[in-house]
Amino acid sequence: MKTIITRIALLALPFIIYTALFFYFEPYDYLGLKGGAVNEDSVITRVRSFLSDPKDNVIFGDSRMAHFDMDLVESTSGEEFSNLAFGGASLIESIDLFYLAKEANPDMKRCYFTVSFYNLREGDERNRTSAIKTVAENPLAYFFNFNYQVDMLSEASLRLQGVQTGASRDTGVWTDEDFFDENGNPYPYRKNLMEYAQDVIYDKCVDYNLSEDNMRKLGKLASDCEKDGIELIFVFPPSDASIIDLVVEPLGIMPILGEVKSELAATGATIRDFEYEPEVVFTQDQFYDGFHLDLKTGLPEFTTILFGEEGN
Amino acid sequence: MTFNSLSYFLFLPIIALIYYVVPRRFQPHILLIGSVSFYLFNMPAMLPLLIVGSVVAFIFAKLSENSTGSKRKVFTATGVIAFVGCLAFFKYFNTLNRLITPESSFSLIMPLGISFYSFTSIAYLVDVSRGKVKAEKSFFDLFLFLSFFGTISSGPILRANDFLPQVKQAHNFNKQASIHGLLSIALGLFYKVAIADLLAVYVNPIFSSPTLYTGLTLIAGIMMFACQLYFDFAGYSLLALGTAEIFGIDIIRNFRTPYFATSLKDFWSRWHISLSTWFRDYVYIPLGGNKKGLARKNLNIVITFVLSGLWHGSGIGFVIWGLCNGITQVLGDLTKPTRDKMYIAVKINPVGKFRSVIMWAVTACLLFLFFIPFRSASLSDGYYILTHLFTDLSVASFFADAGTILAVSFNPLPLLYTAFFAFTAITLICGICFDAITRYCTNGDPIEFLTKQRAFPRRLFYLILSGMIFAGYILNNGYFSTAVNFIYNNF
Repeated sequence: MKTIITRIALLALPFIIYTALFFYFEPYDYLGLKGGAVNEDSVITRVRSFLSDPKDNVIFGDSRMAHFDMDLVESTSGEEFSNLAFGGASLIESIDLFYLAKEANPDMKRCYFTVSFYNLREGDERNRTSAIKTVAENPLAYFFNFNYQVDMLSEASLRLQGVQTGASRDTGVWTDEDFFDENGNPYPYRKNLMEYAQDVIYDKCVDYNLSEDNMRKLGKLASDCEKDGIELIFVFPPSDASIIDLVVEPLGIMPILGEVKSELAATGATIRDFEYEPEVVFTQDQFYDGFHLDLKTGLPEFTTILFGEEGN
Repeated sequence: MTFNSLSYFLFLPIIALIYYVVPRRFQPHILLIGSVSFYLFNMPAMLPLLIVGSVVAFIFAKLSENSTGSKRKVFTATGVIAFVGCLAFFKYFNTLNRLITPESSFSLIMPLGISFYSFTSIAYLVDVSRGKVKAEKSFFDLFLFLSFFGTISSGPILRANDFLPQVKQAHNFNKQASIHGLLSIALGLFYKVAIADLLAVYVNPIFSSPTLYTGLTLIAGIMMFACQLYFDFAGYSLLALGTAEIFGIDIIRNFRTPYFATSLKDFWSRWHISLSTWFRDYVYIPLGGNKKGLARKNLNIVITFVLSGLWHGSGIGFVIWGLCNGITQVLGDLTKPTRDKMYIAVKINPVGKFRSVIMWAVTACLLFLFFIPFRSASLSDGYYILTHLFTDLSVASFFADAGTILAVSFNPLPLLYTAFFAFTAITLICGICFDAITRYCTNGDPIEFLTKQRAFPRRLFYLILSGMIFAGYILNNGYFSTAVNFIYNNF
């Protein structure tokens, strides 16, 4: 039996070395041995960080609420926050993450929850929460996950080439080409804002219908928060004027958004609206694309307004 | 927990270690504890049914053995009817329920392994009645026979006279048998994880929406399903064989390179052998076999195949599949003299290689055609596939379809899905080559071929095989976010 065990161990050696390399290069510091993830924005880093050290104030939503500078959030609000928003999160995923977080931290005090015409649309049924939870809790599930293997290989490749890695942040440098066409005529909006609205968002919102199921789930979430004494703040994050003018208005979404706002307000939750009837209007210079505030100018201001004392 | 889930690789060594450490007389108890634990891990709610089934088999075998004449027949028939009734209830309840109350959303869960342990029990009861085996004195040994974790999920269907005497023997650790078992497990994993489950990524979307595709994509879908089904079930069977070998138990080899068969009869002597021989011994022969004239023999063949189709599932597609197999086999037998004469007339040697190639190609085409009703979700889907196999045979469309399918079902990045496509093609070719080696270079045991090689190429092969299995696990996300199942678990 010893011979067999020795031979199996020898055969396993290359895979053990590979495993060590995986955990050396993987960008999310899954085991917490590297002093922080290369990419703090990833959902796995956030969920693991929350599960190991849950804060009482939690942010849920998609990429529009995912890129806050958390030091600024905490210095502005004077409280510690966990951010469980992540790029591409569907509303169902955010709702399920809320319940996961509430289970992990029954003392949750305050919750910022992103709602928007975009994530309230019918048909976006993606729900990866169960897979996210499995990967966050089980190192084998993380190790054998194809996407994380690809991320590790990309990270290793870049680091071996000496390229600095990390999350790509929403910021840009704009030139005349972004504002004027070939004949020197000004675009109605900066070029990338128009393209974002027309090419990325518009098609997904054609034949727009509100997801009644998601609205019901939001209502239940609000009543659960009320029951458990959690302060719930629904945040309609800022959208650039190009999104409103080229998508929301032409597709007749605006009245629906008004009804959503009223319905959510009726739950007793606080509403912070930067989309339908915005508290503050951000200029196109402050946007990186139609949905995402620029990290240098727009996002810090939004952070101060949303988490500052006046906002609370 | 199934054979390819990572938890099984913790479970198996623990049970094996305890099995060889405890005094030999306790070995069956360890296997029984392992089997009950395995069932509890998978489907705890259905364990009582398995226990009741074992009690029924135990009691009726005893009653049958202790009686004679018509009384014996009554006891055996009652036991058999109990198992057939229970199996039919679980297999057909959902279909009947949908027909009677279409609005009902209730769905009965199929107990793990019920198709297999029911057939094992029936075989045991009939064998006791025929005097081929003695009724088992120990209930726990019989319970182990029916619940053995190496075979409970998808067989092979065991025979009491093969299995029970082995359980009663003391087993010392056997290095050669264990190495053989481990290699069977490795090869089984390769078939399942690195071939079958990767083919599923391509095959499933085609059969879930066949009307989106035509021509080469449909043809490829059918051929790849045939490969998926074979590598899935042959992989499972190798895992079962390897598991049993580690405990010093020999079980039937369920596959002998079936896709190299040169007739349907030959195919069925190589595919799911334990089921084919079960139907031969407990359906075909009791119906009269070939002893009651040509017409009756042919009818018996068709009935046996239709029942085999019904065993696979309640859908009409399975019945059609069984009918196609039965009728084609009958026609093959009836036309053989004419075909032999025809070959001689066109100067083709009736036992030569050229004829073998033609027969192999015809057999393969028939099998692929019969898989259409077997795999299609509905008759209309099956009809669509059948009528669109040769429309738009464009290679460009085939590759465009493959790209679209893999982009949706695997990963949207072209680099990644192309790599997936290439890896799956390589593993599939390796699997087919390995089957060809087994067929033409060994006596049917693929492991024997491996162990005969010189040290360096053998070790290199082990390393490559492990690498492919490892990659297969990663492409399947370690089965943490996808269902861990074998196709035959559903039958």
